[in-house]
Amino acid sequence: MARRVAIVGAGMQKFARRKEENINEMIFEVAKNALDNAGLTRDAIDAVVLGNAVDAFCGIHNSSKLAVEGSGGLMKPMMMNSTSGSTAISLPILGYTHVASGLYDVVMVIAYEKMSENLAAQAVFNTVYDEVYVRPLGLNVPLQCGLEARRYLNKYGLTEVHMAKVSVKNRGNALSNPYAQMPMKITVGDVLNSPYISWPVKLFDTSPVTDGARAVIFAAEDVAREITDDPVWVRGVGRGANSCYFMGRRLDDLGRLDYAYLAARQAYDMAGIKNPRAVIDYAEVYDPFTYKEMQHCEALGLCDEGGAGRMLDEGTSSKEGKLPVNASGGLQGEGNPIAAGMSRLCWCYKMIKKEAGDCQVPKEVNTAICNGWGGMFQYSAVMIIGRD
Amino acid sequence: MGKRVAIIGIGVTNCEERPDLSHKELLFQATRKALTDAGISRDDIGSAFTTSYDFLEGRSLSNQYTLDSIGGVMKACDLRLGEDGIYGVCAGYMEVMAKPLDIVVVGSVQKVSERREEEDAFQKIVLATLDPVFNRPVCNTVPVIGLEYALAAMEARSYMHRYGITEEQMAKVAAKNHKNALKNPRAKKAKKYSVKDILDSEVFSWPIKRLEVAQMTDAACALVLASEEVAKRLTDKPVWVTGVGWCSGTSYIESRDLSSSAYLRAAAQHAYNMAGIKHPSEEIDVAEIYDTYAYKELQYCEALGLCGEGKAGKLIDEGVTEFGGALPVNPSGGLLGEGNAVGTSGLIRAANAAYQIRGDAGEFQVPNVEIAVAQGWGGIPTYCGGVVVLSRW
Amino acid sequence: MSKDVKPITISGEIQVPYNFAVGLAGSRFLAELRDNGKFMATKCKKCGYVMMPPRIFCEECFIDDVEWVEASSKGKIQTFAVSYMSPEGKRIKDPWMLAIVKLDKSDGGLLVRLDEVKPDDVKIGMRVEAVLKPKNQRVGSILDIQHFRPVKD
Repeated sequence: MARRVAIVGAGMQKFARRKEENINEMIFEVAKNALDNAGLTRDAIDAVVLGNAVDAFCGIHNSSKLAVEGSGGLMKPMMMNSTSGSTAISLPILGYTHVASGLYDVVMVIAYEKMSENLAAQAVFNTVYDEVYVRPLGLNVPLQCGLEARRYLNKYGLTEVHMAKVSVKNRGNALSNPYAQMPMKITVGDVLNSPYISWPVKLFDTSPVTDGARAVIFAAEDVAREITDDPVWVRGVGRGANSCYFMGRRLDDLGRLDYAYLAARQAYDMAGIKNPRAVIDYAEVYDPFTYKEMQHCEALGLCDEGGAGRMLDEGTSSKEGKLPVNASGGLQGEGNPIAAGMSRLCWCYKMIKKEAGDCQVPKEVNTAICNGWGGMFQYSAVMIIGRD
Repeated sequence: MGKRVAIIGIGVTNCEERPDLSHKELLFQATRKALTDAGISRDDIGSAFTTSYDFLEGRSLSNQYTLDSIGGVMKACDLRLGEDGIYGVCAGYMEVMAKPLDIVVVGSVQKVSERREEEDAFQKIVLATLDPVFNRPVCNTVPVIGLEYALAAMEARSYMHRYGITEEQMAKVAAKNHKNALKNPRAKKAKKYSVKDILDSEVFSWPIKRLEVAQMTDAACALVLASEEVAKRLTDKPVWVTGVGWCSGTSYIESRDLSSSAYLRAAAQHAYNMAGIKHPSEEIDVAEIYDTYAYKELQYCEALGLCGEGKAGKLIDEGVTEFGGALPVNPSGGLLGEGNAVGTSGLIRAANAAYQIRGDAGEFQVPNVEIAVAQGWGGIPTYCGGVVVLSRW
Repeated sequence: MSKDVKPITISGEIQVPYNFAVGLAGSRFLAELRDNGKFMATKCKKCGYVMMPPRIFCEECFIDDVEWVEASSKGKIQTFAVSYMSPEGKRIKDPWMLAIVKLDKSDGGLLVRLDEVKPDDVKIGMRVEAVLKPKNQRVGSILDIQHFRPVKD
């Protein structure tokens, strides 16, 4: 039987183009921050989960093997996983599983990405694509999102204005976030006037590429209660994935993310939550592109299917709203170092602990949800955390 | 914890080049076999993992493509563990312990035939694994061909220097494993070599000789894991995973004690503690060890506690690890005999060890196996590895 | 700490050549495209699902009991994308377009180029048909499909 697992600390650092440090040095900062936050030393850590999404970005095969020291994992069990963008949450789920299984009591999870080492991001992204059916076509990430976004807007009658509202909200929220790469005070008009990358995705619908890392420490119930008198429990985890043949799937899920609904349901079932909107106080959803925040709010049940537009129009997801989403700024405002999108989990934790500084939302936050998305319209990972 | 985890299904393809199959198709074959072996259908799968290395695949986010083949469509998603296959067993173990109602599939595939060997593709990948500031520039000044052998040679030399391990002893390991593979129907490239053949083979970088290096091969492997209550319903021959351990040593080549594998010792210690093994050399009946290079088997025998530190030379001289010996090592032929399917080979070590426990190893079955050990390594030039202890009871 | 040392970067490149195995299903698909201009799919004998791109196993039933069937070269646009970028990332005047087209007589589709139509005239649900390269120019690649265009009825 799985035992209860809590988060006892999180480590943050600024997302930016970080050329001063190598990977080891970069992750040392967040590992140290997480240990300080939890009041622990490296000795207390039983195992480390360390990972990034795409080795081709930092140009080192098996890069996590060269970052052992900085992670605190020297001569400890160290494991990595990657599910592209959803690594942001699948990595901490692996860390959670280390503890829930009973094998280890205290586990540090570090997610990192060093995208600035690479000078041809597009060339790297192209190596993601199926070499027979996709690569020769010249697909790239903006086009990939153009395909999906168009289907989504069409399916539910949503608009570019809705997308723009996500950008305005999140970039504005990031002004309060000391770790954010690109906080911006902009208007819907600014977004609508920004150049198209691939309709309907525009420059200001896209999160910036960046470097950075995040760390989270998980602990088993009895140990967590020794470390802190306010443990934040992992209440639910979920994962879902669909076939790599996105052009030939059985489900029309470019509009409705069936694999994401699946992941959310798993997490809610595990957490015993039947009415998400009554229980979830706060959400950090994966928004590499603005329309993704909308799709994910629907998949996570934070609004009705197709209702993401209304959620934005009514201000529900604003910082002061009934169900704030991405008060940190999300990927749009903070930056998108793929795996280090684990920041979404970190901010959920900070919100619950009232350690979110100027990003702190006015309402009481006891239960929060976060997610990651990745692959060829393919993976979703979800985590729900909260106090008893 | 009171609850246990078992391997209830095994599927391994032949070790041979299959340029006619895509990597998805090859992995499907292994997974299909494993599901049939376990007596389950895809509907029964809870979650599915693969272990794979992006650069070796030539694809970033390589796990996306193995999802369908592992039965993972619309399941708890496929985690790409960028680790050796043995870590897949460890991760699968944890997953089952955390979710005891779930059946977990772990798979791995390697298509070496997709890398253009004549252009030293693998050597370039080894180069890409090295630290880009301190190590790569130096290695860039020498021909990349043979880079892995040079790196292995440095380690082998250090090991030999410290403990007096000889070339003959290393050659004996290679001869043993090549011979053992003749009994393994999946080892399609098995061939018999004498110790003299091996000593006379081309020296790549002293002391590493051609016949002491496992040749690359394609292969796929899948295992099905389940909790005790599920396993007991589905099979009367569960292979219990009684111990797991893995460990990463220093990133810095310069700081490594190359004469021994401390990381593997730590991993083994953890696995043995879990399994309640106090005297490995007495309690373990068979071991499947990651022998990309012959000297690694000797080093790992020591790290696994099958003999004392520095004593593996004596072990092979006395025939302890021969097929008919007191503690057979790599009765399957190991990587030297089967071929090097890189990350997949770690999972195949576990599969071979599981076959031994079940009594299903056919011609290379060792009699009366109750406890088996399988070990994996991140491969040159990494300094990490994992250990799994399997038991009949 | 060395705050007065300017950060150094060194350049490098990784070039690793590959020969990807297309596999049993892909090889037949590309061969039929090249030799006969046909779009071949596989049908799972258990659930009847017609897979495009074809695969030798059905990922739902998880069996490799499939038969080859011919899908149509016509279909419907599921979604599409317009780009004004050259491969070097420079802005170009005449856009190029990609689409996911669900092919008739199959339950799947393909990612394809769209042409012979203006971006503003393309709609989701539009019926399109394949234009193949002339036979002597087809080599057994997905690019043997030149592009898809609106069906000329």
